[in-house]
Amino acid sequence: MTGWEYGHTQKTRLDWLIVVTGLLAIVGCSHAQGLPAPVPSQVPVQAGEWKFYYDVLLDRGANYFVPRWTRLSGYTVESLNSGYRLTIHFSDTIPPSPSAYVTVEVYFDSYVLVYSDGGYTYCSNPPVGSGQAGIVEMNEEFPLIAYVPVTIQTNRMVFEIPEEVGMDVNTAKLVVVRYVPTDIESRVAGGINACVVSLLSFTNISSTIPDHPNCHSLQRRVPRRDESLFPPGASWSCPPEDDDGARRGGDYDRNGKRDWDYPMDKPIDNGKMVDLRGLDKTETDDRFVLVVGEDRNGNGELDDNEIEAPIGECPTEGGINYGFIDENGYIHWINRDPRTGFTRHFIYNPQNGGLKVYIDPDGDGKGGHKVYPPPSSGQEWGDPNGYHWDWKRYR
Amino acid sequence: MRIAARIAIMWFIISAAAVGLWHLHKQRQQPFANLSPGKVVTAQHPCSETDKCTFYIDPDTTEPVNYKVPRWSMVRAFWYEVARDGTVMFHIQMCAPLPEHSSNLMALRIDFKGSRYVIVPLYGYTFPYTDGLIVHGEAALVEGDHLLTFLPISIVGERVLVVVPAWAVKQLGRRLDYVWTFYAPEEYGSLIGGYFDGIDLSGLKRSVAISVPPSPPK
Repeated sequence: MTGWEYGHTQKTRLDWLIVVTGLLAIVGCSHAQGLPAPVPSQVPVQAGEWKFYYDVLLDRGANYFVPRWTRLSGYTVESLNSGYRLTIHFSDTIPPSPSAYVTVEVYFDSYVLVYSDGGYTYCSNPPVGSGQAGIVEMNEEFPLIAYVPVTIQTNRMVFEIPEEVGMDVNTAKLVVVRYVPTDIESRVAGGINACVVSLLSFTNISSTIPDHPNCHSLQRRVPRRDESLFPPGASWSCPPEDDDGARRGGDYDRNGKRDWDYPMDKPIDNGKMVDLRGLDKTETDDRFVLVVGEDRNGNGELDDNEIEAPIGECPTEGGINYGFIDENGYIHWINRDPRTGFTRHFIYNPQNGGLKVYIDPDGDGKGGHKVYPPPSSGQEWGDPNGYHWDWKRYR
Repeated sequence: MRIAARIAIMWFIISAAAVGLWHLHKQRQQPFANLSPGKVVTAQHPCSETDKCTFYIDPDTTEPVNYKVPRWSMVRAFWYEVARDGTVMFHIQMCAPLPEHSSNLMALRIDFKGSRYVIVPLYGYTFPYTDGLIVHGEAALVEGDHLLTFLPISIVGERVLVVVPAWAVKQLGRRLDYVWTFYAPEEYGSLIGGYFDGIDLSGLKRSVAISVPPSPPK
């Protein structure tokens, strides 16, 4: 081996040493970011697992230990002379008094069979207390239909469902186990609802896991029959994005640019139809205009030549808007400037074709006042085409 | 000298690799294309010192009726964080601490691109969806009028926390669009036509037209 060869080999080894130690350091660091919560060595991993929760007291994520017995392993139904026997199988022996809130729920078409333990009360009406089981109807009232006898046999929970309950036990969709240590339940974001630890689904359809009834008194009210002008969940922007469903239509504001026609085309009273247009103005300032007309050719859409009048607009750059039909058939369009809170409220009356406009320069403590038709005119409703539309002044 | 140069080059390569891996790691932790975890987005206008006064339209008289919008119903800021296991936590900070109970109506909503959103009815309202009811104090991920999954929430002082488990994060849209607050007085009885305000999370600064929850039962 020559001196050069010896030196070269040494340097190459040194290079590799630097690379390998550096890479090891990187791998070590990046791996440390993704490590799960440490598992105490005295708890065998197969005895259970750790569950993530967000601790609202500490304001950070944390973990609690879920014992193995909570894992579902089976579900059987047997016919009896006077009803049915439902058996839920778990992966280990069920302890007599767990130091955790536990619920076991079997969801049917419109009922739920609930078992509660560890001091937890399921707030049906009346409630299912700890150590009890009951059948509850799944509606806003959560009425308890019947208490059900339950026995715990090693790793099984056995429920006797009397025939009188009239429940079709073959329609079970989902078995859910929730488990949360008693001392941290109040700190878990979402409470016990967020603590699903085991699931058994009998359908291929993905379904939601219903929440427990709220223990505070439910505030129930009959919703007014107002109806949004937009499809549920729709959020249309101006200028539109691809999935807004808007297409280029005619040049409504006659500024030489074709405007956008959104897929609203909502039939309203008196044979009229409302629709939403997006006026192509400048790079940064396009305008929504709500229009009304009559679908004379019956194609289910309000075509450009069928528009009779504008009845609402968005004169603010980056404005937020929504429209709805109230229970008396009036059409409302509310526009709000997110920077100032300035609010405009347009109301169209399909019966007489009139328009009212109120404004609220937000924060002045005065609320809304009418600007159209002008109070001095003595008129209640004005001609929509007579309003000083901002989009007409601004081309 | 030569050894020193080699060491410098090697460490340069390693540093570049480290930066690359770090970015890869951060990218893996960022479920939305438009907003980084921990970035706080505030309302365009600051929280007011007092309650606001606005109006609804009485459906029978079509005349305005003024009402107060409490500071606690207005949104101050929004941000989210990602836990190690991929759980996403949305934080919505209001202008004042939320009361334990209210007889008025209020809901929060987080919109994603498309028609998916997280609805959080806080007070006095039950949202009817085709797959179930969402009562106040609950939160759910919704698409159109279909309920996809319930989500854990908690309210601590002026902050509302919505937790999306790791397995449900892929059901959210890839772009955060808006966070909304809706409020209406008890006597009006509907969030449609009540107060609304939002923070633009998309960064597009476009005008937007939205549907207001809930869609009434058909």
